[in-house]
Amino acid sequence: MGIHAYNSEQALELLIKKLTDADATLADVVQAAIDAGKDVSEVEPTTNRRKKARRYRKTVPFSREEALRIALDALQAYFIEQPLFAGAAADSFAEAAIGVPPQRVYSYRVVGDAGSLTLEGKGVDKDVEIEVQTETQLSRTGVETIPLKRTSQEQINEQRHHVAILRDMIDFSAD
Amino acid sequence: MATLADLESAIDVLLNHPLGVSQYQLVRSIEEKAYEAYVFGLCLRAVRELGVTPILRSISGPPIPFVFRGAPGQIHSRSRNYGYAEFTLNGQDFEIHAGVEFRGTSGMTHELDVCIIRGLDARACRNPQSLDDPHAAGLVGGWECKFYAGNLQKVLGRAFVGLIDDMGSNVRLTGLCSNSHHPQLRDYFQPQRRPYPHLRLTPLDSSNENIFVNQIKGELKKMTAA
Repeated sequence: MGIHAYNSEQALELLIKKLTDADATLADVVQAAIDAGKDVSEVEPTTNRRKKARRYRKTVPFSREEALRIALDALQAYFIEQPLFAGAAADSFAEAAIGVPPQRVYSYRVVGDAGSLTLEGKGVDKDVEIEVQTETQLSRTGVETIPLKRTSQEQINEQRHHVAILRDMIDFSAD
Repeated sequence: MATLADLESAIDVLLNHPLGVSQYQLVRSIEEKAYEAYVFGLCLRAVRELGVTPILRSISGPPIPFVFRGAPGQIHSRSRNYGYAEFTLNGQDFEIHAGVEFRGTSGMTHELDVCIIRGLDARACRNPQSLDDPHAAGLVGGWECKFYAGNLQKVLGRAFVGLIDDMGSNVRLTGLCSNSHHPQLRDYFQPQRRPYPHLRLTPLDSSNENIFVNQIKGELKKMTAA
């Protein structure tokens, strides 16, 4: 007897339904990742014993079990990796210094294109923003930039744990 | 035995977490740029590990906040106070940029998601008397950065190989960086002078981060050695 009271098809159907209910765009992204399929190497059988069997590549759909893993990989990319990118960038920026052109107080001089610079903020988190309204964009509505914010490691660990639980729940290898 | 109700509840916990669907909705418009910021940060780390403190600058005034371009643009653009980093190693100046357009050897312009350029060339292009796109000759390293929730697309690798081919022979480091991968791309990048496949470059795999950082450190050390 298996350890699941459901099969991979039911699990995939449920996951896609829950995703669609929560955010249709995210469901589309996950579905696209699944629908990309995979490359496999096929062997063409031969009746001629002196001829080697021919191998060729073929793109095939993922199995339901693989599709579930692909779906979780996609969710992991958004729910875990994206916060990690922001955190890693924040760490790197914190260890850099801010070069302030001369009109402000001098503390440490370096030679650059703007002449002497004051170096500030080494070891301190920096405000990092990503431009949303680009310079060539004609219609400007909504926010101009979005801050790249650090997320607590605790929350990231929680999501890693949740993904790990789900990976166990969609592992049908022991059934 | 796990039931469908158990599975549904586990999915709900994942999606309803603060880093669940709401996180996706927050980052979806900047997911690519956030990945570029991460790779830019790895370049800063490489510089720091060479014993040099990178200095954050911007086109006008202090980089507060430090702004990443949302689309390809000119190195001299003052449309916003775009940020970059500069550093000096063994007497040679360099700058790290994101989303800056270069002039290829053919004359066509190309955007590099993250790049390291010689400081002299970057400053010349920002000089009000000689505003220009940086030329391929001043490029030290260039990286294409792709965040993907699924498998990477092969076409991205082909396009980047074409771009790098137009950047001349001075460029020392090139790579396609992605949190994802494609089984065939690693083979496609094997021939000499092709970009390095920095696939699965993510904080979840520190060994891949170290390869990226060490390549930069090695090349910068080599090119600035007396």
